[in-house]
Amino acid sequence: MKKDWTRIGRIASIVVVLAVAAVAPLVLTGGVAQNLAVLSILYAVVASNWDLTLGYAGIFNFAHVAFFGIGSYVAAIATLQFGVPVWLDLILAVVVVVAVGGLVSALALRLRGIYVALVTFALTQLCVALINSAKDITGGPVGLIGVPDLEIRGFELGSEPHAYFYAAEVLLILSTIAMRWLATSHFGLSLVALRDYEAYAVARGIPARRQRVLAIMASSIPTSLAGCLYAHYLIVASPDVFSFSLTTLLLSMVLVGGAGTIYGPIVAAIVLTVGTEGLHQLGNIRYMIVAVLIVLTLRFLPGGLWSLWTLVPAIRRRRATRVPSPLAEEASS
Amino acid sequence: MGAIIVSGLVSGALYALVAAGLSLIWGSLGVFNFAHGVLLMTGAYAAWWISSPDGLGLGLGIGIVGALAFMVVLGLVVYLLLVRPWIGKANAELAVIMTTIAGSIFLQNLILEIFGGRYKTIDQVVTGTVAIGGTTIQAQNLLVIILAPVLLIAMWLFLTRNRTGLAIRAVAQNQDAAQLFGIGVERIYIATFSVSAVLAGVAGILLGGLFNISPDMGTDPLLRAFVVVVFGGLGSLPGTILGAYAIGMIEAFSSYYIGIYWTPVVLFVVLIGVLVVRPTGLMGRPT
Amino acid sequence: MRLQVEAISAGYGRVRVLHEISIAVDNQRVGLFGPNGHGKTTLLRTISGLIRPTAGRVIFDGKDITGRSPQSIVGEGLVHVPQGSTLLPRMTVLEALTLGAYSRRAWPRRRSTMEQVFSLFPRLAERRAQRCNTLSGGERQMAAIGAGLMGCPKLLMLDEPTLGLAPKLRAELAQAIHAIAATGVGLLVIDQDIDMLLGLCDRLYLIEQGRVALDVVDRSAIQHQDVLKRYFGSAA
Repeated sequence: MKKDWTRIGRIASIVVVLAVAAVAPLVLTGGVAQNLAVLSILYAVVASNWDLTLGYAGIFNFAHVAFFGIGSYVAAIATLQFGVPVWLDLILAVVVVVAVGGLVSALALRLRGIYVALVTFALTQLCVALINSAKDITGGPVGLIGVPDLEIRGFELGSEPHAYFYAAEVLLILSTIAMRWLATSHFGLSLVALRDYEAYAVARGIPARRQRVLAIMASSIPTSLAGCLYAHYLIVASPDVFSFSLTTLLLSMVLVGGAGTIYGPIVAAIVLTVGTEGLHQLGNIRYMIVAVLIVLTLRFLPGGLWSLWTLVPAIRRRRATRVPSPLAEEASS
Repeated sequence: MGAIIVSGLVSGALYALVAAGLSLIWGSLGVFNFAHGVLLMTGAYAAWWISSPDGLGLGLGIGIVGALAFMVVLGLVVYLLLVRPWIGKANAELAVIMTTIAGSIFLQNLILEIFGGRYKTIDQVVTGTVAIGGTTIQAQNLLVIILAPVLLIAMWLFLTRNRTGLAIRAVAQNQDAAQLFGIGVERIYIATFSVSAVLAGVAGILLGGLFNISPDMGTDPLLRAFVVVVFGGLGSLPGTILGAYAIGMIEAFSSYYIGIYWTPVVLFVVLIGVLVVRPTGLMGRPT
Repeated sequence: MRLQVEAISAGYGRVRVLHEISIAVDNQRVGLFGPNGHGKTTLLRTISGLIRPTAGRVIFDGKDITGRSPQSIVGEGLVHVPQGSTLLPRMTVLEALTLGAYSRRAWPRRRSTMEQVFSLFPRLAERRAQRCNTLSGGERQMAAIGAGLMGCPKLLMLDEPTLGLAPKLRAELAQAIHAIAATGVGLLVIDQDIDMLLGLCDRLYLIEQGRVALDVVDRSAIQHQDVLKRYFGSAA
């Protein structure tokens, strides 16, 4: 009986989400609202994927934003400099990003803890340096302008106001299904085991480095696609995607939303993107607000906004068996 | 050639001051302070505001002393707000990365709000040029080259001779034993943060005399310090200092022979090379 | 009464290790023995302030020191030398000893105290420039006790000073501990070497399951064999 209710609840929420996804682009017709919606959905993809490696796997991975940025640059360079037809550049971007992610994480994960954070941070800076040094191809600090529109049989997505909105939604939904599936699979459990008790997990035969490298590679796929969409949608690829402030914004989405939940960062991405945009007139002060929000969340709500959800007793009972992220440790104990 | 070496020594000296502060905190608290670059920037702004006629106009001497005193307080505040609540928790390492990143965003934007984004200049501590063996050196560069090792030696003496300095190392090595010696760990943490913040402030003031000061002036030195501490190994002061000078030199030679834009690439390649050979850094200890 | 532990309960998290245990150390030398894992070390950690007791009181020199910080307890002259003692691996012997005198009470006297420590452990004087992690087991133990003495203790608590040492070294250390006691410093010693404890102490407590299982006040009143029998009999 109880199980039926759980299933009904799940089906109901899926229906609601799909309905909202279908209707939202038709309701939010203003140019500003549409733009904000597309950006927040793309950020939601990036943040929720980052959560797989940072929250579930507990890897100090700060290269995630670089995957997004490299994705956007591969799309721009392939189409503009080498005339690669659109859509093919998406495949190219995934291949390049997965290769870079795999290579760098295989090297970085020879290290432990803080060193992983430092090397992956350095990778992001390396990208900026490469863009500045290879001006002929990358456009340097200005970036590349004029990335062609995605088109389906002559239909250009940019010509129709809803098209990129729907495209971004499709990417978010597919990516979320994939991430949830991964996180709850045998593979995901092995990541959590490595995060919480590495020595034991390794002793039980889980190959630590391989699982973590695979997690980073998996999470880089939707992220690179989000980067491509970003470039095609905005028609530019700019070095700003590697900036410290975007890294922090995305990081705050993961943390404020709730590390180790996948859904939390999605909600936070939408709230924070809309929120920081809504407070536009505050200028730099809104970044200070976000900073305070990060610290307060870590201090008083280590499980993030999503953990408020689990304070509902019925849900908490149902979820008692799940293992929260280390950042949520205090909330659960 | 002389100019390249001078430039390498100057960078190395500045990186050593920055990275030594990071290494000190890592050694005794086991956390990494991502706000260190912003502390450097804030130190430069404090010195500028106190000394410049556009600020209080009290002159450079008072500016430097005042800025360093301010750094002591700022180190305390950073520790109390961004580090202390998480010390001893299982997730301290990751949580403090996040909180100090947040702290650096906060401070950087605060400075931007107060002083605006336009470049400012601090007076040089010493002006003019000096010629040594056919190479003409800016006096301020020479000051950096000499002052940094003096400060680092002073720090080494502090850590090996002074009661508080010894206690900082003891807390880093064995917290229980340190407590049983009667060392108040909390006070030592505060002392460590303040010393580290002062080192950042000194680097900021020196850097501010060489270049302009701006709200993002701390970012590049911090990123170089990342490379330095991975290269030399965190928590080992000699390793950190050696790493800093090595990185400074590599950077100087690479800028000259390969080009300034490719230098970060060279540094990253060097870094990856070191990691492949020695995952704990050149001088680091395996944990 | 120098140190009085009154009905202390303490433990780690939810695990309770000590159950209303009471011991007393007068102007004398007191030994603690008993099977491993029954709370001897926890008792010392509670007395020295590393662990906060959940119930009971600790009185030292007439002052209630229950729940006070380790540094304030060290300041009172109650010094705890922990077990194992890879004290400060990357410090020299000289630095470790100097730090032993960290408390305000001991710091001004550190030079003269160090001379006393060196005369007690000449081996430490030879090794003064060496890093602690390059010392032998016996030398590490000497350095640990020496650092404890640097704090000018009124009462010194030693946790298994002879652990893992060869018989010859053990005798050497026992002799040094005797010499320390002769200077008027109170001793509370944990050790598995019953012979040494019997030779050193005026009073012995057998600690079992976080309680005092046997209080041997007058050592002439009880035979060595009885203690051993009781000890091994109950441990088995």
